[in-house]
Amino acid sequence: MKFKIHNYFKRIFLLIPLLILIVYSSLFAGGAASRFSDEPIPLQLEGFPERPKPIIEIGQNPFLGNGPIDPGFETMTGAIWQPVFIVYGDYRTAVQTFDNGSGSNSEWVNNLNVFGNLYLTPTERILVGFTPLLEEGTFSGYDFEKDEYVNGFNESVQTLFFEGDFGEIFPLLDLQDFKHFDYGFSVGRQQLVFQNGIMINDTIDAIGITRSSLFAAGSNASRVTALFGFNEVHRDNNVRDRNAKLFALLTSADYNVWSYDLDIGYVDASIDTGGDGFYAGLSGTRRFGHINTTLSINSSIALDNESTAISDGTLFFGRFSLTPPYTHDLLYFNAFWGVDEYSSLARAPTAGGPLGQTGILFASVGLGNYGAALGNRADRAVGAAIGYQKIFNDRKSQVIFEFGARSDTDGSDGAATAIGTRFQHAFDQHMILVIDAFGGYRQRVDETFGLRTELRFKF
Amino acid sequence: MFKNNLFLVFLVTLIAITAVLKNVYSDSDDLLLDDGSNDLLSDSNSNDLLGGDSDDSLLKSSGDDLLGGESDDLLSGDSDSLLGGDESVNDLLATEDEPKKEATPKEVGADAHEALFLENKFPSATTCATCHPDHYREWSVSAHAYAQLSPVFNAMHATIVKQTTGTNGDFCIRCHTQVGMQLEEPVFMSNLDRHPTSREGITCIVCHRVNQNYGKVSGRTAIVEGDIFEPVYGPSGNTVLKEVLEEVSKYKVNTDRSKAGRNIHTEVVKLDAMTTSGFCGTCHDVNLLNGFRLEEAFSQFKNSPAAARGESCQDCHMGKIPGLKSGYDKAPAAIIGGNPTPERKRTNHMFAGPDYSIVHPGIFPHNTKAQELASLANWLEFDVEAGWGTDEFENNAPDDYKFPQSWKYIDDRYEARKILDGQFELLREIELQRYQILRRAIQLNEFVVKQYNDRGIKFGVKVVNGTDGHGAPTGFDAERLMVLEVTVTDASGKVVFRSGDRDPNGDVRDIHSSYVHNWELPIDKYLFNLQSKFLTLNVRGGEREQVLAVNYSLDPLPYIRPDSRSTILTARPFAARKQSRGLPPGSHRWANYKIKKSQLTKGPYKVNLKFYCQMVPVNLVKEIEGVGFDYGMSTREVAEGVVNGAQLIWNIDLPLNGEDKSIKLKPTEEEIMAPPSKKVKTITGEEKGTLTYNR
Repeated sequence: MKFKIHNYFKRIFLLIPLLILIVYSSLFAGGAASRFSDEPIPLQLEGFPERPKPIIEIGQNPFLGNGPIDPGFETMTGAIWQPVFIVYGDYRTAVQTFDNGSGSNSEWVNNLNVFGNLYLTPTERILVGFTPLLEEGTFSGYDFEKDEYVNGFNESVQTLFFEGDFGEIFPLLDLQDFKHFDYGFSVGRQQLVFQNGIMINDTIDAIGITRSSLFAAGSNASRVTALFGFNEVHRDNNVRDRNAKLFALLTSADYNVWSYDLDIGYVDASIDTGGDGFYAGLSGTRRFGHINTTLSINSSIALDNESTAISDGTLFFGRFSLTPPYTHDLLYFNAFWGVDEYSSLARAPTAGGPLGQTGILFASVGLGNYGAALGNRADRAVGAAIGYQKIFNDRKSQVIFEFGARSDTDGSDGAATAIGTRFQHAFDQHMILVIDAFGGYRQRVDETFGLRTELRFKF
Repeated sequence: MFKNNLFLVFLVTLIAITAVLKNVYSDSDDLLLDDGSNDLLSDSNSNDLLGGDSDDSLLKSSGDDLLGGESDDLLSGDSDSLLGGDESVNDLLATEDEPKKEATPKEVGADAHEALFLENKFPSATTCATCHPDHYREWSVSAHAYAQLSPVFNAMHATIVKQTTGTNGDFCIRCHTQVGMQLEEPVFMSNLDRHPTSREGITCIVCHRVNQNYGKVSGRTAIVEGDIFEPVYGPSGNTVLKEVLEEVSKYKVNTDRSKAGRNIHTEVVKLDAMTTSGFCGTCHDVNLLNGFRLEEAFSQFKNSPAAARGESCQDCHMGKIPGLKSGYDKAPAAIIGGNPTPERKRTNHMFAGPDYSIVHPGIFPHNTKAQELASLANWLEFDVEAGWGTDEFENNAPDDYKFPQSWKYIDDRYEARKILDGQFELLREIELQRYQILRRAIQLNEFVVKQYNDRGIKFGVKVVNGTDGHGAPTGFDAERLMVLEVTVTDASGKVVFRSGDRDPNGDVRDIHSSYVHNWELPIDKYLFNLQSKFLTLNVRGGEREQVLAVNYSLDPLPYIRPDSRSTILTARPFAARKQSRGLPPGSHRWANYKIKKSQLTKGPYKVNLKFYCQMVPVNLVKEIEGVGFDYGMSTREVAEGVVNGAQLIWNIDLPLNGEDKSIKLKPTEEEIMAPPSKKVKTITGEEKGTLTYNR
């Protein structure tokens, strides 16, 4: 394969401000001595952060705030409920330009995630969520290319579920606390992420039941979850299948060295919408000396005919990182190998493909049309990213510099490379500035680039 | 409308960068004062990933020297007196911008009124001590009583609050000082400035003024407010109190607010829940409101054989023998005016566990006489190590010896020493109970030689969780150090193999040791440590261990808010979790070791096994130093206190000769309960003590 590396250096000037920051922070960040200090350290009370209250807080007991606690009331089941309702979320706004080589897009985009959380107890809650500026992948804002406003207003409920602990809801069933009624459950429309978003990354109507703090299979701690999704399942092509049913058994277990997640799932769907599929994922995390290691394998099998919704395939993933001496930074290397066409069990319209964990160049920013510089689909492809995250300014600032590459394994799509960077800075208790930039080259479509500046407000 | 959209985005980006630089430099005070590793303006030069200056080369190896134990080593040599330095304690105790000042009489009067008002809402343990001196004595030295006074806790929770931009609020401290939080005290301040009842941590009323079973609420319970006359809540109800109130002439108690006398609560409300494990689970199952399962003691118990047998937390932790269901004592519930009340079931309120005090013995254990004699700040000035108040010191002290104003009178110093002698006795008492409960929790059961030849030696040690009620460790298991130290010596006594040893700060050689992290010491690849680990999801590159579970890799503004996903289904939030590495109830794990051919010298070899329990690793102390330590302590002083308090619960010498392939080590009940000073017969037939006292 032939790379025209010189092409994407034409726009490398875009990265200069961020490169300056990287060099600046690298040169001037200091290392701490290994030996602990003998100098007394007075309490650093000045400027200590106050609790940023949620924008709405209703109830006698403030959310994680000091002050008297209201005793609440006893329900008919014997549970003590202390209701507190809070509203929280985040707002993101960005100006960004993205050119994937075959077309460009420049836009001002916005998204608002608003959640209302009603705590009945610390274990029982009802969560409702809205995205009023996002409608089926369309973000509100302004499209500079088309010179028009974009309306993504959406008044519908995106999240609404109840979760709780059966034993806590019905304490009278076990007054002495010797029995096993501690079944956690969740029911309603909820976002589900399993296998780090590779296998499931979707918001669906589902009911799940969980047992945790188990010692199953010789583990130090384990969790078992049975899940049934009955509505709003999006298949691997990010398309909603109104009739698909999802069944999954999701487990995790900690051992002395390794920590595992083993998940299996099945989707029952009509052949017209893609057909049935079986899915399995296994991931393990451990440290080899200083090296953080996460390995995973995910497979999908089309039980009917292969389609865009489900096809046979396997995705191997390796993620490695290291915190260099004298720093809290991160040096990482991630690689994947997609055999055939791996399909996820469920993927939301905005979730893209399963490769986001490879690197910032493989993930969309989740806001507008600023996509993944190197794509995030894993079909018959190999790829890797190496990056460095510099954390500085008392952890208020960070910058990532990353190089990534991918290639198909069947000659269908060619190869692509890119360099990218992300800078983030927290201004106060609520606001983060995010700057992303990348420049790259994709075989057959020439160079690609992107630049964006985002403000994110948490509340 | 815009001819050059790219230029627009670029312009916005430049403006944003300018704003960042302005914001960074507006915080320049922080940057200049903070000596932390991320100080942009620090003149240190060792941050170069690939080596930097030769003096700071990452590949520099001086491991032998470091392992050899210089004088700085916390594990060797006597530590300096905690407060015996030259600096004025008052100077150290003053917080940055709050210099100490004398209170005016008016302020003193206002303080007295305020104290009285608060006493009427939240009676102090000292009030309870009047009639319940034995309960008070046990509680006063307990981890419950120490919970808020701990400088490690104070700095740790403040660090978490700071790193989460204030959003973690009162989550941690709500349990540690229920009264302080009810009083709306700031979540971070010096304990010296807290209300005295707030300093009592989990004081009497935190359990005995709770009137219902809240369930797994991570400590967010309501204390029923009221003065001493208001009802209290207990497992036995009103029976004994009724007898007392019927014999007013004998006990001389007063139930009338308008009269003076020996005031007493007018009712004991029976709260059945208080005898259940669920009552303990109110606090001892700690789940953050974002779904992070920090502590799972109660949840582990629910899945344990002990629960299946119908045993409760109280059976093992408030009974006769620490850690064993052994029945309860019978004793008076109260001693009123010297008259004991009728005997009844008597629970132990000492709650021996893995924690221990590292603060001045004048302020902990809680002591009513100590509180009457001097303030906490004054006690911190009392030089215990110098021998103040002992004949030896007082008879030989030079005339010009400089005493602080509060201790200038010799009578006061003698009185203080007398109090301290009692404090030391109490500390030894709980140290013994701690020792016994830890030996019951962790046992070495077997030693097996798997290979013994010219190619090397392989051997293993079977480590057993001696309890089947919960994991070992449990609770705050991500910060409990439970380490097996293994030392193999050859015929000449030379060490040929070692694992579980400490770095000069007192850390074991895992990746959180500053020396290991900075590549100045090798990682201990055979380290056997039952401590669980916090894992955070990196922006990329999988998960990494962190000392604290605040994830700052994903974005620079970590926020604690309810998760937008169900965390019950995942049992963890998306970006952080705990990898449990403790021993499940009743289980065991083999600690395996290999001595390479190149390490072999001349046998016969001997192996020494030491099992240490330490309340926290000292890398935690380093992680939390940024917010400062209470009582004017330095990072090293805190670390020294932590390391010196570690208990050596097993110390066994064994032959390593290839002939004894398997040696049973399972301790007898007598050995588990043996006091540390008692000579115990080891497997090699030697008579030796099993613990060196630290106090």
